[in-house]
Amino acid sequence: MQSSLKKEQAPLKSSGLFSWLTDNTLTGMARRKALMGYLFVLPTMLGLLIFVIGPVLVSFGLSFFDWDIIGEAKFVGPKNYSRLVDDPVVLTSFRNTAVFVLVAVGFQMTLSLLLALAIQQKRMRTWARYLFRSIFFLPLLTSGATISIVLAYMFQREFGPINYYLGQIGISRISWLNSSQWSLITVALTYVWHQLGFTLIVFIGGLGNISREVQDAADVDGATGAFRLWFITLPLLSPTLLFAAVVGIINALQVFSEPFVMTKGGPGDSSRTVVMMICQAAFPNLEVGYGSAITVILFAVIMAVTGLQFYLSKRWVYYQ
Amino acid sequence: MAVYSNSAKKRDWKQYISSRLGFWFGILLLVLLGIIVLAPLAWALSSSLRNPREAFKLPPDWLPLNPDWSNYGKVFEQIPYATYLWNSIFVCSVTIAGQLVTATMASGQRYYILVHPGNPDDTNSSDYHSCFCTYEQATFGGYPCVADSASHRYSLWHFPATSIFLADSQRI
Repeated sequence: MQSSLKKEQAPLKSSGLFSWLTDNTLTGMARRKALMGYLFVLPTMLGLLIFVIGPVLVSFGLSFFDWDIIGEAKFVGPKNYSRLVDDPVVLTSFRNTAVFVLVAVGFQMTLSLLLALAIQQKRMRTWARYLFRSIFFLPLLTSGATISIVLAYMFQREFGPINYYLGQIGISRISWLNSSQWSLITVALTYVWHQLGFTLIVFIGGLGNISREVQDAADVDGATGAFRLWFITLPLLSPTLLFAAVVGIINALQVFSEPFVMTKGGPGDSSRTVVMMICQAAFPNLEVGYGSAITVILFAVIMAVTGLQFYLSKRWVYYQ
Repeated sequence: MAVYSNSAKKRDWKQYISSRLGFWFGILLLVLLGIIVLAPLAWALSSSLRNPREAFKLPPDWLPLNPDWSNYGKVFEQIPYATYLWNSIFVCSVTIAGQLVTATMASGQRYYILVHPGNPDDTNSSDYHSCFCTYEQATFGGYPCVADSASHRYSLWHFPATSIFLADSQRI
């Protein structure tokens, strides 16, 4: 007993370069704990800095330069932006993207909400829920580019099965991919086909989160059908709807692979989207500064749209 | 609203029909859209079993009755498909491993807590509740929680989630 009490203790304060860290005091312990935390966060922060924040800043800076990758970058000020405003192709691509977002996200949200409500009906058996959930999730297992090739064959005017079956029910052939009025719609339909499962899973999760008490109260009060949907289910689902809308619009504004594979932006510029313009400016045209300017504008548009959604959400989203 | 209608019987009958109709309408929607969603996948699958001559036959043979398996062999002959497949698997594995390591490190340690309602000496009771929680939740004010000593209402044991199998020895 005595000897153990006499045992020499480590000094509370030490000297040296790392004394602030190795001090055997509460402050030193807190510093060690904090350092451990920073060390653990370090890999993620490094990855974010190098692969996300860095390129964003570089792209913002490059939008004020003329650079063709090979030669020297030349500072030109806001010239890229003034050129962009007068470029009819860029304006068309922004308009196409807006139409695309409206059509695609509208279809995606409506269809998957209906499907989620149908799947989560009380009378539905568990195996049937699993079956339908799996069916609608299957397209997400394929990559967008691959399935665009398959769908481009199916949408073919002369020997595509879609026009064949439409012909069977008396609708004359539609040139899905080769007419300027349909090409954007076709691309949007392909996109919806591919992305439907994701929104559906989100909505199913949201419907499952609606608290049991509220539903029981609604049952006791005899709320059914459209009343129940409008006054109970949808308000309680509104945070999920906001999430799906924000994520869906951000993804749809950046659509690239479907129009790139299916129509190459054509016919004319009828299905050219903003990200395709960015890619085209950088790689065949070697105008990195101009591409960066379009990128910055798209970034600003996405930020503005998302901010607007969150601002408007105060009026319709109900957090329980 | 139907809730306040005078005749309870009439209301029940109407409600029954409309709920049944809604259910079958939902099933109809699910089946129709399910067919539409599955069709391109089925078409790609059955096309892979057709020979080039009948690839664009209309109406398409949805069921390949005499399947032509040669396409699958050709893929490996005409392009280095095995290499491509390996590249994809490699990229996928490295990505997932990196994400798991960095994201787990950044997300902080989680503690696993067992809550035992009732007398902790009563070994017959197996009514444990368990949850994952942060350090601050697992410890009350920085100390490992020993909430049972004062009142025998409930007891709490905590230990890092990684040492989940040491539950009994780490009991505080």
